Amino acid sequence: MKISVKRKLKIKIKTIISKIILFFLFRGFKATYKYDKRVRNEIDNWKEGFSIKLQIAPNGSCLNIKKTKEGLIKPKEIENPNIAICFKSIDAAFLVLTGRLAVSGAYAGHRFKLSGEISEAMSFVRCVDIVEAYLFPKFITKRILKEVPKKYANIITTYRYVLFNF
Amino acid sequence: MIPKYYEFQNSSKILSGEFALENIPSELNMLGAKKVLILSDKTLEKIGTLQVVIDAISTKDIEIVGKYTEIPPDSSIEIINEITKLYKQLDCDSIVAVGGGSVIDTAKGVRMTLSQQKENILELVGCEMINYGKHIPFVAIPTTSGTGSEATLVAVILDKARNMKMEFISYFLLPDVSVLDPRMTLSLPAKTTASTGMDALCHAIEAYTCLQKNPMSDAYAISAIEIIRDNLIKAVENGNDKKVRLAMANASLMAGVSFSNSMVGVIHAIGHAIGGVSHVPHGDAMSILMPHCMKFNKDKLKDEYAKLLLYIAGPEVYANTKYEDRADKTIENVENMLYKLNKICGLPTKLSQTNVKKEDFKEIAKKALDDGAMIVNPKQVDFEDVMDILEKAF
Repeated sequence: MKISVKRKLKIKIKTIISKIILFFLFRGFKATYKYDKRVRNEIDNWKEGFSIKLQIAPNGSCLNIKKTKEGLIKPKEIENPNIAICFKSIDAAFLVLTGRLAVSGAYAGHRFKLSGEISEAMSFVRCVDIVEAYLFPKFITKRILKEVPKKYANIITTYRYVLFNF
Repeated sequence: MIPKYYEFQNSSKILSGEFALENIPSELNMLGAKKVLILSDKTLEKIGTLQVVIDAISTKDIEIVGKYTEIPPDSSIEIINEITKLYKQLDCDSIVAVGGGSVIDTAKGVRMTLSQQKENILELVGCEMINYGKHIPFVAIPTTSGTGSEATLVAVILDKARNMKMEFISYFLLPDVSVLDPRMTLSLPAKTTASTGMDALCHAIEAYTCLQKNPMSDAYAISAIEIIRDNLIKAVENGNDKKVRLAMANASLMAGVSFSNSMVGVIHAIGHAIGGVSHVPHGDAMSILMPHCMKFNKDKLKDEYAKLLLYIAGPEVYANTKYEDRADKTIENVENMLYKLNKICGLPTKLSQTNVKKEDFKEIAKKALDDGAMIVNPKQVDFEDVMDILEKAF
């Protein structure tokens, strides 16, 4: 039996959109690290070399984040990341990446597997909540987050960084 | 309300009641086990509880090839790795754990290391990241009525090197068989009965109110609460009542099934941190924190707490209380139970009556925010919130 064309197409579209969102999610991390003290405090507490792998299904798109002396970088590959979050399906990842499900909701719904220390992952989760507050409009974050974090940084400056990387 | 999506698993077979222990050999046979490694602790060995199990298991077909009774109240990575080696040396083919949360969590850790064919359990830290692996028959026999570990997918193990409690979460941690025999909890002192019983109540209340709640976990939670309401005080007052002991063992297991599938929230997050920093017994911390954390969560959980009044106080009180007062009444009932247990057996009601020191609050709050339980608490919790709860509970 073969997968239907409709499903194949859906996966393809969701994969492309997810790749784009993962790209901007990393930019969101860098921007908030620069402009929001809460994210900066969280990430400054990560040990140097601390790495996170965010993966969609076993072989789907992937975002690698590593803390270095210079700040956050996005290496192509990370061996033995401290935290590896693997969404069980592209559909589960798509819900989170398009702002229809918070990380807490995804955890509650068993939407991903986590390898590494849960206590270390908690800091990452707090950062994602703040990044989402900047990236998504309030009507979305209000629906998915337990409480919408305040935006301390200038929204235009943050968006400029997310879109143009400066 | 039915969640958009949920998962639920309770795959352990449950043996509950009179001569439940004596049915273990039959279960081991069916699981293909012949050579058992028994895990327990020194106290249970000393007071003879372990011998009751050994007597029940030792039959023609089942050989107990080894026992390990050095498991402390906070089991560690090192102990798990040591037992894993012992299991291999003795060429065992199954595990029977007799004890409280620490012993059963240790057994889960050993079984996971063996089934995944690893040398060190630290390679397996995480949530739902292991596959089924090699099947190691595993029977859990709880000797307290509180942790519910015999029915949960979680094992909490201390990493001594970093003084951190590591969480291992996988459905493959669930025992094949969980055995509830009233003989196992008869010797539990009144204060420990109270403390562990309140822990079970806390599991049920948090399971009923956390983000992962679902109709299945709710059913187990409310049944557990009703049984605790009717039996906890009696079990503390008269520990020799086998009926009451068995009821509490069932409540504890049901609360365990419930929170295994719904998880626990802020009460456990702060409680774990208090245990780690100030070494307060887990049940004591839960008992003290429960009303304060419920008050904190109340604005988000008014409906759920209001519904719980029926189960925690009974139909008469529920019917005679207006909707808007029900959530408060539920919390009041929890508080009353705590004060009653304090009068009967000295269960602490404030953190100041335990090892907790005010100067440790900041460390406790920081650790609590990093606890995995925080993620499923329905209300956002920040550092100041935890400090405030600690202050009120002191």
